[in-house]
Amino acid sequence: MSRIYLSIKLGLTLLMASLVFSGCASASSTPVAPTSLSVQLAWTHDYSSAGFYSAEINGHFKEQNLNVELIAGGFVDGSYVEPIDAVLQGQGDFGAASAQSLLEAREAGKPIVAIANLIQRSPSAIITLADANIQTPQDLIGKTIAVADGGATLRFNSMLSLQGIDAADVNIVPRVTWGVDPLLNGEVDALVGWIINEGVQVREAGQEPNFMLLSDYGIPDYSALIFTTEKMIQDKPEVVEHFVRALTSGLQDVINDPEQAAEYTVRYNDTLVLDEQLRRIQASIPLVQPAQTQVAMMDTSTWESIYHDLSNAGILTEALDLEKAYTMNFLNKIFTVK
Amino acid sequence: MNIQQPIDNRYLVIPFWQRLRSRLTAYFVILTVGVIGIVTTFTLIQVRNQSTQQTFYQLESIAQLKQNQITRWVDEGKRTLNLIIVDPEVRDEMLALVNSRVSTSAKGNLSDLFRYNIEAQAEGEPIFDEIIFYDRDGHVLAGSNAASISKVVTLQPYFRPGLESAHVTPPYYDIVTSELTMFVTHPIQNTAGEIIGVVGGRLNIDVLRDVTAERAGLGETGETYLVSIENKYLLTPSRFEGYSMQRAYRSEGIDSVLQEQNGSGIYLNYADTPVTVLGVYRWIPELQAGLMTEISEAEAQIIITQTSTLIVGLVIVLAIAAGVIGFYAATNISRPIVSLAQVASQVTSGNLTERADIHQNNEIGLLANTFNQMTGQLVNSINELDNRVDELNQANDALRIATAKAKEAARVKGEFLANISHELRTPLNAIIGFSDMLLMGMSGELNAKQKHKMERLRENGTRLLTLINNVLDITRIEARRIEINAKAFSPNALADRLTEQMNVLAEQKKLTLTTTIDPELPDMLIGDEQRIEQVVVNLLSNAFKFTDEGAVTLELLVNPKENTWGICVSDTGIGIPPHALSIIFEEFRQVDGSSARAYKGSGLGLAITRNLVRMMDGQISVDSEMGQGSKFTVTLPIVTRENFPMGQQLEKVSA
Repeated sequence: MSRIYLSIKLGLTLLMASLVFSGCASASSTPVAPTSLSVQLAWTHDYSSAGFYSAEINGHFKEQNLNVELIAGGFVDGSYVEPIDAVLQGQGDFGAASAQSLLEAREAGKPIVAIANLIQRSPSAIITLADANIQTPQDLIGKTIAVADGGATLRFNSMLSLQGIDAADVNIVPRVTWGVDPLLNGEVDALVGWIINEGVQVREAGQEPNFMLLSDYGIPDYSALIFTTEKMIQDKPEVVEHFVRALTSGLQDVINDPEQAAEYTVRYNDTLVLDEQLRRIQASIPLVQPAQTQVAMMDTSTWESIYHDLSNAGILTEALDLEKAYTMNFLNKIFTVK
Repeated sequence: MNIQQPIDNRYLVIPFWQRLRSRLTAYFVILTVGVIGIVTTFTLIQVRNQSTQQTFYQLESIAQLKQNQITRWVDEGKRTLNLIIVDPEVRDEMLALVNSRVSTSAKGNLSDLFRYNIEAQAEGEPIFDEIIFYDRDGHVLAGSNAASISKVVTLQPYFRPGLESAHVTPPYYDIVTSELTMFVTHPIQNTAGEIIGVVGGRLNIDVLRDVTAERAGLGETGETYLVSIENKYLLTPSRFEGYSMQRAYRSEGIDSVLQEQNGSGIYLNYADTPVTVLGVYRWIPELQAGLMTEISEAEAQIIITQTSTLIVGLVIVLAIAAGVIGFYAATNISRPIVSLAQVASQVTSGNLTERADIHQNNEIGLLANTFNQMTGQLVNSINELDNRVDELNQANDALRIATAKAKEAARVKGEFLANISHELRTPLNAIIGFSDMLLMGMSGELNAKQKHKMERLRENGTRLLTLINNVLDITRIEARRIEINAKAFSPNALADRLTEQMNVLAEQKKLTLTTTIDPELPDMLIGDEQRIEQVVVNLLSNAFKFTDEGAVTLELLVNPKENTWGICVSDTGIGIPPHALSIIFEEFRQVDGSSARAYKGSGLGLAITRNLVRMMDGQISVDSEMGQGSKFTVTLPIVTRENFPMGQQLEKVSA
């Protein structure tokens, strides 16, 4: 009975709230006319986009008067769909990308801005088997480690230098397969991968993994930022705000009910296995919302750290205005009102 | 048997629920169930409330105990950390490390000291799993766990608050280990008072689990668990299978406690299929979590539920028993009554020999006995009545015969009188006629003596004729052969005519005759003038007859109120003695037998007068005083053309 009462009370509250919000321009939420927009995801439909699925299926987009199309990314016809380019070419209004891609694009003069953060702590880690007893980066000296080209190698090297380890003392080999077989087979002693993906894979193979998060050794990263164009922020800030609001609600739903989120994920891509998606979502949650934080937030010091690392590594060669690469306005609006 | 039929039917006509037996049985059952039901329900509610209260007290004390254990544990963590950092050796090592980070020997020393501290506590449950020391930049410079050294903790939740003051970081899920983690931190100052780093102790979280896993006093369904304000995740596992800790949980209790409230209530718990629980909740600020202590209502109330079931069963059994007893008791009462009713019906139908065959030493027995007596008495009374009726019938027959005889006799008498009167009148008329002829000198002139004798003869003859006429009148009246002929007439003219006639008598006896007429009297009345005249003449004749000196008065009166008019004749004669007033209107009566000779008359005049007045719907009365005079008053209804009944013929014929 109290449930009925609660739901009635909730219904009334929502009704009153909607009346209030539709009646006047509120500081928290400017109403928008029904708007259709699309999001270019960074990967095929899977757990990494669970927040979007929950926002859509649980009606948060609709609550914000948004009709959102989720465009799967990944490899199409053998080539990777670059979300930043897709959005700039008008194939999407919002996109997902890593901090490195975003800053490189900014340096190239592409007018994109990060507005929210799907994963606040990077899942990038040095993954070893627990039996190998590799506890610290120093333990990697003399060991073989598989590291993918590009950003992974960059950050791994940064970590080594920060820890005062000479890269020559570590046998770094390029990572050529997506899986964890080389680690399980003993071909390599360690590999750099995502704890929420490769880390879970090791467990699924029946082995106990050991993780050294790169962010725990001074190399933080934002691997999945949501961005849009400067024009969009300029022309339709209220649409952006409503979009971020719906997304944060979706992310909170994932945190509140991971099993539901896994079920939604499989609904978007029926080739996926429910239990596997659930394990990855459960592993993601402490990264999506670390203790004492709000979902989707970004942190100035982390941005600075990322920028610093990329500059040091020579990836970014020109000085750029970091503060234009991201904006916290929308998130702050949402969470201060909350 | 035929006679019994109607009573059986009548009994069957009474609806089942109106029958005494059904009602009494129902009353028994209702009374039993009602009384027991009310008493037990009331008692059960009382006991249930008390039991609920008891359960809440118990949950409160368990919650209090657990809260104390948790608070003590956190306090012990803070105290232990303080003990470590006040150690001068530890302080020196920390300062040295911050000043020269590369001093590996110093690192080793501090880490060793931390390890030593943990081992020293490990006699029971160790308070810390790990102790670390990091500088202002978050670089871990020393740690009891070698793997932590050289980490950077800037992104850890305890980092920022730890730099400011002693702090307890509420439990959170560690990203790498996925384990629940809780840090107690304390900033370290150098001699200049600057914060140079932080010592952090990772609490042995197993203690929390042990505290909540201890379920003494919580029965089969009771549980204690901690729910974090962070995403409403569980900090200790549910007692029940299938509830992941890392998922948001909600219930009325959880919602309340996470608003930092203490309290208790009966609400649906967090389960997928929610169970109603009695819950006590405490906000634990150190953990930023709610301590929930809950037990399912079903279990808390199990004894009450069982007792209720038992009592309901008992009430049903008692109801059946009451029904059976009530049925028999009611049958005992109703059967003799029905039997009595059947006998009564038999008696009513005339079967007077029927008797109620009920022998009970109680009120019904008494009723039956009385009924039998009553029936016996009834038989006696009926017999007696029959005898009386026979007697009365005989008397009746005798009376009928006597009446017939009397009527016949009267008829014969009347006929005889009429005949004889007629037969007498014929010769009498001849006597009178011949006397007249002689007096008129048709047989020669009579001398004075002869004339006198002849006049006496004629006078007596005339008197005899009058007498005979009167007798004829009275017999006619009695035989109802007189007719009343109602016609319009003038009472004034009647009075004038009579006065003129009677003045002759008055002059003879030297009396005065006075006539007065009420001016209100209508000019015209309807009536039998001839009979009225006869009445007045009779009364006036009497007045003159019994008056020797004085006056005779005739008055015509009217009483509009009663719609009557009257004729009043008064005299100053000898009067009538009181004892005679009641008989003067009877036939052949004069006041004094002796006076008959002195005052000539047949004694029929007043009887005829009365009878005539009555025939005209009138009344006659007399008022008299001896030696003073008499006054006769005739009262007649006023009949005028106006009030003469419509459609009725003016000439009223007496039946």
